[in-house]
Amino acid sequence: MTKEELQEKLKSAKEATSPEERVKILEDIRDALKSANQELKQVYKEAMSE
Amino acid sequence: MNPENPNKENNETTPEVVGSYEEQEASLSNEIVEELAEYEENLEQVESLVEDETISDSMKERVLSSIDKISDELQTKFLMHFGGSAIMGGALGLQEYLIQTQQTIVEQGSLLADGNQVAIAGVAMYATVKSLQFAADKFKAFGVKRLVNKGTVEGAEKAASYITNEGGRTEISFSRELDINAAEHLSMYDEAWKIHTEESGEVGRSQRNSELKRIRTEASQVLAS
Repeated sequence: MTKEELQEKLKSAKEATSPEERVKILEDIRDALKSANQELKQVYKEAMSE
Repeated sequence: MNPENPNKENNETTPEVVGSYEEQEASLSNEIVEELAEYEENLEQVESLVEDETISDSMKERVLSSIDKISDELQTKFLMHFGGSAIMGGALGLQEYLIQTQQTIVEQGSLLADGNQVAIAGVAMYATVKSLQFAADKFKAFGVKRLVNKGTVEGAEKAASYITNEGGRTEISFSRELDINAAEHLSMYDEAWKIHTEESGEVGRSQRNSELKRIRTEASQVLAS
């Protein structure tokens, strides 16, 4: 998913949900991205230390 | 208890509200854009390992496997919230095709029906339990309060059971027969698919028309019975 696609999706979500729900969705997505970044860093670290 | 959402009282993960929702949204959106940029950089870096001659083949396999797993998890997360365009290309099987269609209805239909009520007609006749579950998840994600399932009794009962078991507050009413509103629902479905197709190009027009024809034929048969 590109940045432009994501921004478009965020816009759609904003139009379709309540403010409280939007915040929860955004938090969930942010946390998922953070988790993915941590895992990718760990994969790189393990591969380079082989 | 919040009368608008009885499940809220059990939601212990909701963070303390700091600032307005608009401020929180703006802050979170910025964080997401930053995390996404970092994700793209990290992914590119890890993918470069596959071309690195100093890395063993077994490690490369593990790296590729990890990339797939991480990407799938992230994709699932996006899919859960946004649906539609997260499913890209490929030869979609019928079930995946239905899931894609239903989530399009929910995603676009919730916009068309101002986020409070949307009805699934026609396509639910072909729905599998999995696609109904997905639709139910989408409804909850979008805060839609009422699901009108015009599909089979069995499908509606399974969807009702699923939503009940998941603790959603979605109210379900269903009918074995399509009623006078079916035409409106099919029109919404048609419009939703049209928007989705034109915006994403994921479903060819001929494929869409063919599927619509099947749905309308079956709808007519139900109405005539």
